[in-house]
Amino acid sequence: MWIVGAGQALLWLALLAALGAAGGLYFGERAARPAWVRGGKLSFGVAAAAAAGAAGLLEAALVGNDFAVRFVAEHSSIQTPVYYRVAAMWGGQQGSLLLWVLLLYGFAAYLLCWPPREGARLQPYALAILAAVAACTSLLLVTAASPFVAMRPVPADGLGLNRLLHNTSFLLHPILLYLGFVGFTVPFAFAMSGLLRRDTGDHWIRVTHRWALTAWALLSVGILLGMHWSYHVLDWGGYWSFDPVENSALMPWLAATALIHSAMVQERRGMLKLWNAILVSLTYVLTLFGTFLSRSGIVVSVHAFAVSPLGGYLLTYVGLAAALAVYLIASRLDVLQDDRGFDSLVSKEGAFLLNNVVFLALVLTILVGTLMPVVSAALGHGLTVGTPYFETVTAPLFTVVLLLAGVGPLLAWRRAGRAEFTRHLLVPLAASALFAAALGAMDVRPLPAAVGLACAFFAGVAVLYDFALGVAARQAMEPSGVLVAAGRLVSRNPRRYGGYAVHLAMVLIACGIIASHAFHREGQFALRVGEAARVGGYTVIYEGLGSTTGGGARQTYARMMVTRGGHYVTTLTPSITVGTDAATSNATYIPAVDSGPLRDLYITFLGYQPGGTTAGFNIIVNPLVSWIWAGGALLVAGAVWSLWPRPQAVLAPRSYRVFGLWAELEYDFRMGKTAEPEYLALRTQYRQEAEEAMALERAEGRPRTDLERVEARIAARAMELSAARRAEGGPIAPGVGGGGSK
Amino acid sequence: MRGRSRGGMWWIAAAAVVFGVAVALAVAPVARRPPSTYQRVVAIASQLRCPVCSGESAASSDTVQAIAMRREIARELAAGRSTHQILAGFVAQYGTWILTRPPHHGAYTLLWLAPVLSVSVVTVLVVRYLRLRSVRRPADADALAGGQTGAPQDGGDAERRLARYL
Repeated sequence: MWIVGAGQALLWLALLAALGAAGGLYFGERAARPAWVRGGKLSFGVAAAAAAGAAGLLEAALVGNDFAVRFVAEHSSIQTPVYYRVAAMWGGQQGSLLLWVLLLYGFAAYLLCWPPREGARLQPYALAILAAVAACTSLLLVTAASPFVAMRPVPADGLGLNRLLHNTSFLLHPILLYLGFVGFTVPFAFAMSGLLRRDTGDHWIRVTHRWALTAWALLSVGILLGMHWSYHVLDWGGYWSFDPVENSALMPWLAATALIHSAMVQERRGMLKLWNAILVSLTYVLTLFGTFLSRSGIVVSVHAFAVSPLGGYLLTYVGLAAALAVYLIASRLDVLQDDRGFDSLVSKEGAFLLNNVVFLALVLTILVGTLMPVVSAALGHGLTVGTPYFETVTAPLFTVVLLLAGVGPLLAWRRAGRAEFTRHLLVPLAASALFAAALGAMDVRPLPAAVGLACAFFAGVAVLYDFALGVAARQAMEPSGVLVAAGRLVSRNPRRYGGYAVHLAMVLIACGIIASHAFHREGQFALRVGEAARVGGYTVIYEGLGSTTGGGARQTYARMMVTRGGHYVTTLTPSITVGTDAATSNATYIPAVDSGPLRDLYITFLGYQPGGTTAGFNIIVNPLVSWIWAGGALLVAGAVWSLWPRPQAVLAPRSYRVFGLWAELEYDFRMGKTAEPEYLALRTQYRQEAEEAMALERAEGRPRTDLERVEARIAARAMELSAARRAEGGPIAPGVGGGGSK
Repeated sequence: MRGRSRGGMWWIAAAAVVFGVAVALAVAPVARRPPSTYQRVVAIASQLRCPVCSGESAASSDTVQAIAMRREIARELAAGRSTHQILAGFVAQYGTWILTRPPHHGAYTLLWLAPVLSVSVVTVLVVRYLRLRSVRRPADADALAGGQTGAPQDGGDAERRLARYL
């Protein structure tokens, strides 16, 4: 019983401490009072600890089967395995909101312990904004959706966790998805902090970009894990249906994808400042709006939580965040002036702009489709759009995305020579034309799928080709073996080649989605024991039933032997599980999947006659599905590599940008992307800018290497000491010195 | 060096084509098989709403009504009717509401223009942004024209530092 009271008290403490933190940090920074800022940070730490304590209490109640807590009674049971009892926290509205808040405090705690090395000055205001957001969400928890509500009378057993959530993906998918969603609060906070301080230099975009990329990667993995879960647990053989809740995660992901590209233009060239400020706000507002969509019960979805009073609160937060962003951006337009204009649209910057157009158009299109049913219902029409609509309208835009993923890397910064650009397109274009011709010769249908695959192929070849050109350029600068050159190239340019890995990951994911969507073969069969079904070239024989009991459920499974061309392939055992507690007593149909590099065999057990003489099955041969998951792994690797710390950015904050740009120019020229006269002119300019920046760094006494930093510190200390000695033995009269306050 | 390496580039492209075609050949046996009747039924049913469910199509729902609709579709397919005719039959019975993919006429056209309109709206925004916000700094134009202003005093320092970025 005490858990309910203590949990609620901790949530209140978290709320009040977060409010205190927001006030202390904001006003302390504003009035330049370090003591207030320190107090604010301390208060934030207390709030984070309180939230962690509340989450710990809820977990203790779940693991210890304390059914006096309503949330535990409704989402867990004695028979629920212990690791799913832990995960039951995010199996319901209140608990998942607590997880949400906990992750937000987690990000804040990370920033408190390890302030960003790029843009450390922006930290106090950023923390103040995080604290304000944390206070808002804590308020939600305390008032509208507290997991700490008493259950009377205390039941002997709980209802149990929904059987569909009994899957290892469920342990991770919500955490990563929330990490991504909550993570976008951080770049938003830093962006707004820069505006509050009117401090929109290079470090502003670097810290914002870095955190946007982090949140983007987390959200990507969260979405992919959700697809994996859906594929392996829900019995329909698919992984994405443009359901409103899926869309509410996809929209911020798309906006963030636009952001992480256009932020690169600002990082390298000092352009698109206002645009990026708008994009980062849009992304954050979309995450809040997505939360509103999935938690308010306004849209009809298989994922949606029950109708709840949260809607009003969340919509208010959407409005508040949007108002803050609009106010700060509109009142700081002067510091959002771009350093320069575009030299040419046929350039990397131009490709990034086009990328922004397509991704934002995707956001708008999906937003219209998602809100249509709500608007239509309000007007009394009852018109809704479903999966086929979304697939049809987004497919052309995604195809353009694929093409851009190939074209972008081939373009030089500033201005790509037209002749050079055309020559670079030649190899990937010729290769994909050959590939497309081969698809045509094989009579691959439907046509849109073949076109999509050819575009994906183009992007893949273009990225690999550009990488090969880079290796050759690297060898030209410094003779070495291919592998050494490739290694150095990748390690010196983590952002660029991490990005290339992510592009290749997208190619793999696109191939998997297109092939499994267009080429899968599916059949539904009622089979007697020993009878065979044929699907997509495979023969599946039903061999009989078996059953097991354990983990609070009874599982009946069918043995299905799969052969192809007379050769044994595998034996699969799809199952029907019936739980023994209240929430799981409905049968769940868990498909059996055999994943191969080129195809998945996917069998769902639909039902059986008593004794199992006849049973029903859904059998799917699903090509290239595993490429989606492989792409996910590559995406993680690429994202982690891009986020690898770049000490140069911290050690040489002024010259970092121009040196990066200069290095790109040297590569672009050696790869034959930039014409020679342009190269020579730009090189002179960059050298001059670099020297100016280096001179400034020297003047500011900003050390460049660790050794120099130590030297500088020793020099500063020596100056202090000599100044002190001079003060002691100086011309100051002894009487004045003795009678002073010191 | 460029001429030599470009030959190598063609080999990369050739290897990619061989790989791509090999995968396509491996997948083609599945892709070329005609879809089963069941699969065709599902494809049509996914374009129809389940009349008694919330947000599910007639393909994914297991309600009595959805199953009846799938049976009806199978019957009509067996009778040789086209996808278009079958969908039209359901529209006649339930109204356009039954479609998960709105028709291409009347007010629904707007829905189908959504991607085109979205692209237009964003393009206009980008163009306006470029007009209003981007100023060309004269220094850039000078540099591009090839103006060499002032010989660097310690060019070697910058070059050495550049090597760390390459």
